[in-house]
Amino acid sequence: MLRLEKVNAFYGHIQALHEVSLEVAEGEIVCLIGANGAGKTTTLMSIMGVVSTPQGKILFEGEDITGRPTPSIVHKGISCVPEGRRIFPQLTVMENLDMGFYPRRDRPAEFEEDLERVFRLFPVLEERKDQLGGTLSGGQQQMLALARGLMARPKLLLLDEPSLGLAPLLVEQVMESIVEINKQGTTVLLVEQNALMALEISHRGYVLETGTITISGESGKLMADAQVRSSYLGT
Amino acid sequence: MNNSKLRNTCLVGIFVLLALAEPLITSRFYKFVLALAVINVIMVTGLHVIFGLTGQIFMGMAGFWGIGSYILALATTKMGLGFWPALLLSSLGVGFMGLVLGIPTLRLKGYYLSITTIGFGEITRFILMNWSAVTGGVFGVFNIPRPNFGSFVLTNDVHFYYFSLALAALLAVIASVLEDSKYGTAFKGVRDDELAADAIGIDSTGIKVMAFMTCGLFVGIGAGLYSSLLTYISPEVFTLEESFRFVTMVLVGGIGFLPGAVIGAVVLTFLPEMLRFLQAWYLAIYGLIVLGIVIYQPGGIAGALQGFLERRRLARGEEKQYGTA
Repeated sequence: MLRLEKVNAFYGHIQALHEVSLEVAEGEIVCLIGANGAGKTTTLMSIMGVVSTPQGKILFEGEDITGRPTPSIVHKGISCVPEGRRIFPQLTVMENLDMGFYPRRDRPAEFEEDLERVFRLFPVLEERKDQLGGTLSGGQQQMLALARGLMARPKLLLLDEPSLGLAPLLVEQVMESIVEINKQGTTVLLVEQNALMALEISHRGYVLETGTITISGESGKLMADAQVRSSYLGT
Repeated sequence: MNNSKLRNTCLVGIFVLLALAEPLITSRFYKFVLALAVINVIMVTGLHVIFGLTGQIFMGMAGFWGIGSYILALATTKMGLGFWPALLLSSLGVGFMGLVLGIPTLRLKGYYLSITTIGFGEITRFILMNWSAVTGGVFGVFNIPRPNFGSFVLTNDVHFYYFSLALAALLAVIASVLEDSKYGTAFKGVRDDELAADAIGIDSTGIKVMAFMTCGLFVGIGAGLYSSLLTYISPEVFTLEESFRFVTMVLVGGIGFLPGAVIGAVVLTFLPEMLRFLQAWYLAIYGLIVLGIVIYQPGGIAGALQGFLERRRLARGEEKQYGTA
């Protein structure tokens, strides 16, 4: 579904990604783990076309989307839940969801259907639909960010550190909803520092170190890998 | 009460008050100031779209205002157009300026954008002043006609006032409808978090250009009315100080809440005139009042009003609905 072929990305003269190649097949949850500054977010931003034109090739459903403007990428079916949630604090929950639907505003008939779907996933959002986004708790904000991403009805959902800053119980809850979203037919590329959680819910994983993919494979095997265990799982 | 309902109620109240105020004012001078206030209401409605809703600090209002005023003035006096086509031309012209200014500058953010728009305003003033062949230079443009309905010309200031008020109300309705539309939500989204808006597929640059254009369309109408009210314009009024004044109107009224901006426009049109008797002291006192509002009531007049409603609700024993809008 998504394939990165030898992608290089730069911030000014600094190279953040070195020939990153990875693949996400339809129906999978694939995780990308690594330490701070390894280039995880940069990888997502390159896919979304937010980072200025990366080198290499990014293919989505066989089509080259490298360096395309973000709205057209979202239109193709990739949606991103950015790091730190970044919901709109001064907008109500409903307005936040409206914003998620914005790229599909030419099909207003589908709005109710999608809204029902995200409210079934996150009932708390329905209870709080008239509340300002900024007044939600951290966990609720993360749910709102996920819901907002889903409103674009993506084929592929990119998640950037959804567990960041959440209490362990909430992390569990968010991860469960990611599995549920995946079961409903959305492919997921998950970027996480919480490597254990990410490996537990994903099918395959990639390890990114200072801009280079060093290890990849099935998540179960990665969890057993001695190097991954010592570097990322702390065992 | 939700936010758009509160907004609509406040707007209706303000416009009714403005309509009732005219006969109560006896001095001819203050009647004129009131007409200016209503024109400023139109200008600030435009600024509300780009600054209040979209969050872009636009410091070039004097530029838009100057261009709009001159388009109407020159179209009526030199091209022989009637008032109505000239007003339309002025609105479209400034809207087009919004597009022209928007496309190259909107990749700039925050203060960089402000500084660029300051430059735009100043350049506009210098062009108006020095391109004498077209603009009449420092001597300005004379004999600008008043609006007319067929052969009925609004030479009477009272008629002109109510005409402007009706236009201002119409534009406030348009701005409110826009605010409640999905584009309005997109404006506010870009204001709240531009990167997040980008990441979920909203073309934030396009949204900002659209907000700039809308601002221009509105300001063009206000500016056209301004030349028509004065019947004479010259370039030296379209200064940076005026751009600041429009931004201050929005700040004092309360950012992002249209009735606040409208009140801000009325208050800040009257305040300097009422303080004139202080002569040399007036700028200092005016500055202190504005400072006081910004320090003690950062939500502006609108914020004070919302605080008052909240306290009243609490006093009535209703449950506090934290953060609802």
